[in-house]
Amino acid sequence: MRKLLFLLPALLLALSGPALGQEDRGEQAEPHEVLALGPDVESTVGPPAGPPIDGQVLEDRTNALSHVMRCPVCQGLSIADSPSESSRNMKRQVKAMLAAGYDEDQVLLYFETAYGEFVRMVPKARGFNLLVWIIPGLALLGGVGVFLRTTRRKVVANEAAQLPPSARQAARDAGDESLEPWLDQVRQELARDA
Amino acid sequence: MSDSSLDDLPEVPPPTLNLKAAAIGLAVVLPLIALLAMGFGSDPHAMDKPLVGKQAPAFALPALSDGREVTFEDLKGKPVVVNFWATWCVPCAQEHPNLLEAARRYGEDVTFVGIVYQDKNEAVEAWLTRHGGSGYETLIDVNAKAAIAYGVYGVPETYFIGPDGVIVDKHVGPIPWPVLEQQVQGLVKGAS
Repeated sequence: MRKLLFLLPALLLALSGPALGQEDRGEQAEPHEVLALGPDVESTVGPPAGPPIDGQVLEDRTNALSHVMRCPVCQGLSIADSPSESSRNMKRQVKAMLAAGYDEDQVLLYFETAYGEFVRMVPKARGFNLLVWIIPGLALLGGVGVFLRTTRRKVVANEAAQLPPSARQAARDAGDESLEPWLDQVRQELARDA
Repeated sequence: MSDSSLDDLPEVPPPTLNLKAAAIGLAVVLPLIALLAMGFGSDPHAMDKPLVGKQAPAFALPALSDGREVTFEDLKGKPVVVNFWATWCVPCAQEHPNLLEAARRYGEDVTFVGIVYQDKNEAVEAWLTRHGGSGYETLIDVNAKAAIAYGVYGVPETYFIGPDGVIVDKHVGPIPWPVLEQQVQGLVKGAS
């Protein structure tokens, strides 16, 4: 058993090896510090909106923007959270554009031009997408309405049960008398069973 | 309890439909059913093709053969078929003979270009040797810039571009011969 415990980490390491190998396919990549833009960027989104940036500001803005962009080959992951090579390449492109002075809207527009609105983790609040914002609000309002109504009914029933016998009789008299024979029948059967 | 006592009891009134509750129920359920119906009516694997009908993104990539830079501008003037592929992609090997055949038959009228995605030059050269060569220019997509510009989700993907540089259509996945031939013939017809 102890041997098995020693073997387990080695086995896990061996199994993870091919998976890691698949992630890094050893593509021809530029050095990380080279952030050249493709020739299509300016023709797609125009010139940069601001001055070039670098350092921690560039890192922070790249990270923030990568969290709102969807990885195209993953299931619901942002490019910041995905370890896939596609996401790494997209993140590199985001960084290159921000470094050149493009703002967040321009970067999103660039990717949206190629991938469609799918690339946004949060869809734009317009047209059919508005349902995503409206339906939960309506459901919440409906739920509060049902809750208040049910609570109110229970309060009324409890108040009626606490009335003195004479008042209860008066309330019963004001109600539907057609059920009285059935209620009498039930009372008789309960008394007989007791 | 005797049967006679049951007979003495009045008729139970029939249950009545609470119209208000039914209306609220329908108002909630019907839109949900409509949403589901819309979902079932669409292909969950279908991908957006936002670039179809628009100008193809420009690129400048090194050629596998000699490293010289090839730009999209260099290819304009004739219809272009751009195929994104990789050596680690199994379906790419399936479609490769179709692309070779199309380039052999229609290469006079249409420019074929292969763009290699997330791969190594040595692996690409070895793969092409094993699979009968390319028969057309192969470019290396450094840092997947061209793939991002074209909105490639995964390889293989094939783009059909008119002589004016406008993307006519895009095929996702390995392209069968009838589809490829039809698309290429469409490009040739559109160019003439």
